[in-house]
Amino acid sequence: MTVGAQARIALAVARKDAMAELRGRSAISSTLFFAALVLLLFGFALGPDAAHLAQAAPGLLWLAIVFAGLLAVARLHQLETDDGALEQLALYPVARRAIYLGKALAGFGAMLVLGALLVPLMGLLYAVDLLAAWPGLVAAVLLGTLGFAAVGTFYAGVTVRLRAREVMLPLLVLPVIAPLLLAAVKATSAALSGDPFGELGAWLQLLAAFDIVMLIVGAGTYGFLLEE
Amino acid sequence: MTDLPFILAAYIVIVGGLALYSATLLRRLRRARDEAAHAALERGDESP
Amino acid sequence: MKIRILGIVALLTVAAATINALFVVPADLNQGDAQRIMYVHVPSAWLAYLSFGTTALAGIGWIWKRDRRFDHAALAAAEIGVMFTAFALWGGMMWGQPVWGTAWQWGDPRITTTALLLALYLGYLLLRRLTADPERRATRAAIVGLVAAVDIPIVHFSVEWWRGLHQTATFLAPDKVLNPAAPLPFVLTLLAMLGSFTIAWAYLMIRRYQLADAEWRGEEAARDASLAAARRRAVRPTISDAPSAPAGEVAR
Repeated sequence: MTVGAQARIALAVARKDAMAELRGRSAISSTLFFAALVLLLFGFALGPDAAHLAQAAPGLLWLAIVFAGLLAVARLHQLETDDGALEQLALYPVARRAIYLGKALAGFGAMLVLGALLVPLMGLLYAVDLLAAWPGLVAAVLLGTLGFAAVGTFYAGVTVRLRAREVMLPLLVLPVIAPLLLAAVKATSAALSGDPFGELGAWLQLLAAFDIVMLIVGAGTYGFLLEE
Repeated sequence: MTDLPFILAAYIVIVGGLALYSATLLRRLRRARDEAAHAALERGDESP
Repeated sequence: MKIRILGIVALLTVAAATINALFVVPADLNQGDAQRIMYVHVPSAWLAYLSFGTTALAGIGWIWKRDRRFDHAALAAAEIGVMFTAFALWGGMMWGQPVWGTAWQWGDPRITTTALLLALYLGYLLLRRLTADPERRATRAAIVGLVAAVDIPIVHFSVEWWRGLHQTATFLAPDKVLNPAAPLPFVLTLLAMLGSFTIAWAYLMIRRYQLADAEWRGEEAARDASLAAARRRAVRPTISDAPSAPAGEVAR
């Protein structure tokens, strides 16, 4: 199968997932609401010292993205297994890696919506100046959420048929994304502080490397899950 | 010798844990083999 | 029988190496007696990495050949690796408390990586336990083990950067025992521990593999027995002319 055909399949899978997600509008808004609530509660847990909060803001932002992202990627698989659509998808004579990439792309889209909500909210709640930092911030969010979607989609596929999936998905994903969390937080705080040590580029590179490695591993192994 | 409690804690847990795991493993192995033999016997009796 | 001899050798060498490390070899000049913890910490860490490498390779073997023996080896290595990871973590903390003044040093890539290693492979074992079908279990475990193995170097590397880019390294004394300039008795003590622990690892690997094999045969036999009983109950009233499925095959 040519690269172009695989890309078309991946896009079709992603569009299908996005449509299913958008039609069940209550699910997506509840995930967003949950993420905003997490940010708000962090404020209660660590406030009311504004300087303290502003310093912790990058870490809190990424934890909120991770927690809400776990819900988002789980549901992208859940929607399909509930009505047996994943089995049908697996029957199509297309490359499995295209299916994985499509689902990861849909997850990435959901994560971007999440980021677009949470980053401005962080700016408001924790009194962080976003305007000066936006290029680095956008790059960190793009690369960080892409890596999370790559790992999350993979593990959602692993756990989707388990009865204990609600607890198994975070248990498996969280240790794996530890380096991503570290690099994303570091990149975000470097961007917000005007990058005094010149380390932003290095952390973004680490994020990009993580994304590429995980996308390759996920695309290479996801097919074995569908064969089950 | 203020380090003594830490040295003891490290050696007791690690060397002792190794011994404990080995002993437990041997017991599990014996039981699993018994069960496998038992189940095989049952299968032999009941297969058509 | 030969395996039993291996077990006895493991027991004797670990005992001898432990007595040597605790009572015979002199204390380190800088770190004092706390240095003795390194003699159990370093072998534990080495065997943890050896185990998880084995798990990843055996997982690849399963995906490639679909031979259940690979899966038994992967399970054996993962369980034993979790044990040695916990030992390495514990030993590192017990060493860090007197030497660093704190049991946990966030900027140290080794201790943080080890903690994540433990979490990764506990998840691996839990996933295995929750999957009932043996083939699915083996496939899922194989790819999860593979992703975990790919992740470990990234974790280590990122924590190293964390320290290097942000704060200057001030607290890390180089490992005395791993230093090539270390005095000979220290090096020999460490080598003796490494050797004896590795023998013990090999013995435990064989026994754990045998356990996995026995459990698998037990599972299969029990499944066949209940299947046969069910079939007989269903078939007996009428005279069946359809050929019955061979006993090993289970409808999925």
